[in-house]
Amino acid sequence: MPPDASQTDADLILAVLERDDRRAYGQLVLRHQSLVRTVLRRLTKGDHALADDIAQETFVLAWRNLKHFRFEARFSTWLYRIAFNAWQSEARKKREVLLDDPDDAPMLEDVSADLPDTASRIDLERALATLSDGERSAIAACYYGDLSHEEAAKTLGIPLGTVKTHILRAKAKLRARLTGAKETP
Amino acid sequence: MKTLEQLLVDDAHATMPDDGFSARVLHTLPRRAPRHLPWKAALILGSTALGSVLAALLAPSGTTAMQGVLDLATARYFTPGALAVLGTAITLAVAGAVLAADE
Repeated sequence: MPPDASQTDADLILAVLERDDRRAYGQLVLRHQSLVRTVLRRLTKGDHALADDIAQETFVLAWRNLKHFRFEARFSTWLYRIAFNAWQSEARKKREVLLDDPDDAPMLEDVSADLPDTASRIDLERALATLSDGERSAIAACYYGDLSHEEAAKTLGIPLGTVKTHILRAKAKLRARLTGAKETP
Repeated sequence: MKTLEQLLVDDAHATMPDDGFSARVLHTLPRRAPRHLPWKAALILGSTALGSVLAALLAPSGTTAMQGVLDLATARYFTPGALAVLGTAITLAVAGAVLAADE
């Protein structure tokens, strides 16, 4: 069932709210499943089964709470927030999730050069898994959730400055990991 | 050659095959709770009002709602009339809160 491009997200949401139209919701799931599952795979450090379980929970929660969706925000942003909260709740059952964790590690050299051609999405997934919770969450919010730094700070519940620091550190670590650069003392 | 920015953006926008995921989600969707119906509000508020009327009718003789309001206005909170009016007001407030929470 390919997504019907002629209908906007808002059209489909209205169809669900007004007519309880499950087919319309199916279109929304089909349209957004890729982004939600990808971001959750990155947040869960590549645990695809867990990521899909949380993605399923995300869409069920969105279905239950669709009447609270405000049309000022993009549906994908709203979904991202639900997915992030679901991941955080799941992660907290097993361990403490530190989004505001002060990282005492030395700042890695900022390798501004391009990445080698061999750097792939699989390498990126592995590299993302080595980041701290805070760094990974900040990267996920800004690049996968497509949030601004301010929106990310609000969603993650941490100060704006911390988001910016996390992003800088994360990008330096990712570059170092993907290019094999060494840490600077 | 790719930059890290490009790799992140490409990864975020890469299309993942559905592989039956959407169907699984649709299969597990709970039934939507019935939308708020006017008869439900009428039922709750009507039964609350009926209870209030019965309470007023069965109250000790000489107790009227008006007397209760007058008692409350003069800061006599523990007379039978004042207590009956307070009880009715609280019951109506609870019924309203239940309806609001349901909405």
